[in-house]
Amino acid sequence: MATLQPTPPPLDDDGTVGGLGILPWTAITLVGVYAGLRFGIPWLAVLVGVSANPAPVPKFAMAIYMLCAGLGALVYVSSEDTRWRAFLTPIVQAFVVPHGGGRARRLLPLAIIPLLVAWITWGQVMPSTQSPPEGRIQHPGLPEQFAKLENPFGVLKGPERNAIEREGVILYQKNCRPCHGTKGTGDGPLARGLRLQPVDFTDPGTIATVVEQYPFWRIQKGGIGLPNVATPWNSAMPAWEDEIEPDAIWRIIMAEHGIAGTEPRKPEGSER
Amino acid sequence: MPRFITLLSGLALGLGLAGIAPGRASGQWLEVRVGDRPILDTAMVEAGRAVYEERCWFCHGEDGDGDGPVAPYLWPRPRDFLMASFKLRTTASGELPLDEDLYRTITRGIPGTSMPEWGSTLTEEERWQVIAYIKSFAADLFEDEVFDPYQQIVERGDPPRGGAEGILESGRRVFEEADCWECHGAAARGEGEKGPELTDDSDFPIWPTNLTRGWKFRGGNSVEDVYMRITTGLDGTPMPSYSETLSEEERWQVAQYVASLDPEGGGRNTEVVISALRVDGELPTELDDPAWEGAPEVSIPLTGQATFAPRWQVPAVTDISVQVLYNADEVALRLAWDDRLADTLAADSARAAKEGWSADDTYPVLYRDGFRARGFFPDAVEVMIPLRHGVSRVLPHMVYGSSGQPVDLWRWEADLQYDPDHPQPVTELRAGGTQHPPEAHALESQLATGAGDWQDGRWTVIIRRPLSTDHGAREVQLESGQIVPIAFHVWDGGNGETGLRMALSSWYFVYLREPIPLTSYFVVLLSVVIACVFQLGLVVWMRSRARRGLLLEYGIGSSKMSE
Repeated sequence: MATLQPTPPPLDDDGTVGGLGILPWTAITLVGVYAGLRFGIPWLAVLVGVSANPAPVPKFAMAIYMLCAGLGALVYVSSEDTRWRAFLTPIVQAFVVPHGGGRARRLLPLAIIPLLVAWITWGQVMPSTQSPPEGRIQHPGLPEQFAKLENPFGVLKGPERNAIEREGVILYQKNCRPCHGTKGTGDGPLARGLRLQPVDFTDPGTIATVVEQYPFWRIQKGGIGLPNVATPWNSAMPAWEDEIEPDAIWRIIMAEHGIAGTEPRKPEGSER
Repeated sequence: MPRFITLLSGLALGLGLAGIAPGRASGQWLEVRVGDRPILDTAMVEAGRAVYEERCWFCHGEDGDGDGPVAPYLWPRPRDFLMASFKLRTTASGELPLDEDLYRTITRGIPGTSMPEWGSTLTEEERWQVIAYIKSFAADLFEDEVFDPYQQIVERGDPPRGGAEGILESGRRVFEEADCWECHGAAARGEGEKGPELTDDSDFPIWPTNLTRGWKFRGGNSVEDVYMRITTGLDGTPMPSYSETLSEEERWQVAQYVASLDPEGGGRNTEVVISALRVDGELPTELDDPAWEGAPEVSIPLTGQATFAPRWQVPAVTDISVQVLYNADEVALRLAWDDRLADTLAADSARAAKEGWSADDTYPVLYRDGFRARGFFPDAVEVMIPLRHGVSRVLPHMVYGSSGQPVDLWRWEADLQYDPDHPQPVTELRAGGTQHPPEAHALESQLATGAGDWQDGRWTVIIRRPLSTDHGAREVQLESGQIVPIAFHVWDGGNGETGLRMALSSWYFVYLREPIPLTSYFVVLLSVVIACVFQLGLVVWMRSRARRGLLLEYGIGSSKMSE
């Protein structure tokens, strides 16, 4: 808006680092976001140990995230006049190159857009081997009738409590250890072959965040007792109600907390 | 703001790069870092007792005799500390282990067994304490200077460097000449002819290690670790020390060879979708038809069926390799898995008659709680597909579905394969939960066919079935282009596996991939043409603006344009 000047504006005014210019930085950012969505997030679950397999981000989510990233970048570069001009200058110059300076150098920038379009359409049109999305709610709500239950051993202290826990440890190590592991870390000998990994009790997001009636429900009703939002079909968790008495289930829950070094969450309000 | 963008892109790039890094490393035994060994005095023993009675007793027993209340559920069985005989050592054959050896084992755990790693749970001090306590179970041996293990440490130089090809070839020759194959088998899958007779020092049967499954090696599968096992032997098992019989160079060679047998290191499978290739013309009927070479192969991990009683905690088969081909009418699966013995009722009865035992004494001592079935059972494999499937449908339960969501099964059995009176070895069955065993389809609905063969400790089986049938919704109907849920079940009869005592997989998917239609290529081409035309228009427009001097602010003056 100021007076027209025949010299190009100084590119370092756009506030970018390394003298790269705003356009390359925008491109790098978008590529970085794409790489993060494509590889980072799927493998994060594996690195953190939540899942054995990388879980790809669904296509529609990728599209939404990339759209947001693109719009965000556009808002950012166009929010200031000098920056916007610095952003557009290399593009305009690529489109209106004066003659000379090698044919390849002139054509290369012009080839970027058609190639990008080809790549995106290819991804849309060509069949991919992505598995159907398997969204899953890990902690569905506790059914009312279980919330009312009470741990008959909850009041015990000292040696009496230790004796109950010890019985629970034997029951745990016989029945639960194959999947949930000797240490409760969800990596027992049978865990390797399961796509839905057994719960890691030492993870602060599992039994430590729920009241002790919750694991009672899960042990008694098992995977097949889950609502559909929690993908009961993938769960190898047995429904133990016909094989383990309620008292023994409470013992197991107390042992689980001892093994994992956690405490059950206290219900809201001391008494219900 | 730009700083923020820089930071964000850096973070995103970092995440992307992290994605290339492999998952959790399994770690090798000799690589465990051992700090300075403290003095293991009586105070340490007492402290170790507390650790032991919290973490170890239920398997290894309160008295350290390897017979805790959980021991009958474990295979291999927990170590008996009274015998003071340890597999993983750096001391000569038959000698006691170093404290550092016990430290490595406790820290890393023992893959392929129930012994977990304790490095992330117990502090270093607690680990030394529990070692002091474990040694107190055999104090008379450990305190006797005559048996001092620190006088018995084996020498270990560095592995020879140089042409890997040559070393592997020499290693293979040593493997042959030292008769390793008698137990470990010519194909190194542990299928050697001596295998079935082997017992450990407590007279429990023991199988030779399948050397192609490096991730299950008790003491790690690095060249150094394998060298150490060959040199020291695995005390308590039939694996002897070769320190006298083989030269150091030969032991390094055979260690290199053994370590090379599992190049992937048992990496976890991350594929969830098995791509089925469409072929023109006939599907292959032969197990080794070259047409199979082109079909993508996915290795699917299996686990014991532990959801419904009778549960199965010790499955013999841990992986199955799957390939799928299809044409306009039929689908064909090629399945392959390691199994040391081909079990059929006839073969097992013959073996029992020769060795003088009956079906009733199979596994008499191992499982006092009796959860292993007694008797002879054939090897078998089964493919499970939901009777009704579709993208929007929820899946049936991973163990045989339910009455409301039945599954269809295509089962191949070794007995039927070798029965001359039986037309073919595959049966189609229907299951709807585990209350009742799966039921075979009526004869007119038996459409699946197949063939299988066992060679060098590995079964290879083909199962074929028409994509669609005449019976509509009463049978599984498949179509080109579909993504079909699929799961796999394997029985090793010789391991007492039958019925629900089986190895199974979670749900996976077969994608009946269609050849890419020409229109797809055309659409891509069209999009490129449109983009080019659009860009050309932009160029023309901008150049005209430039000529009119409207682009001065972008560093383009009209004087510079020659057009």
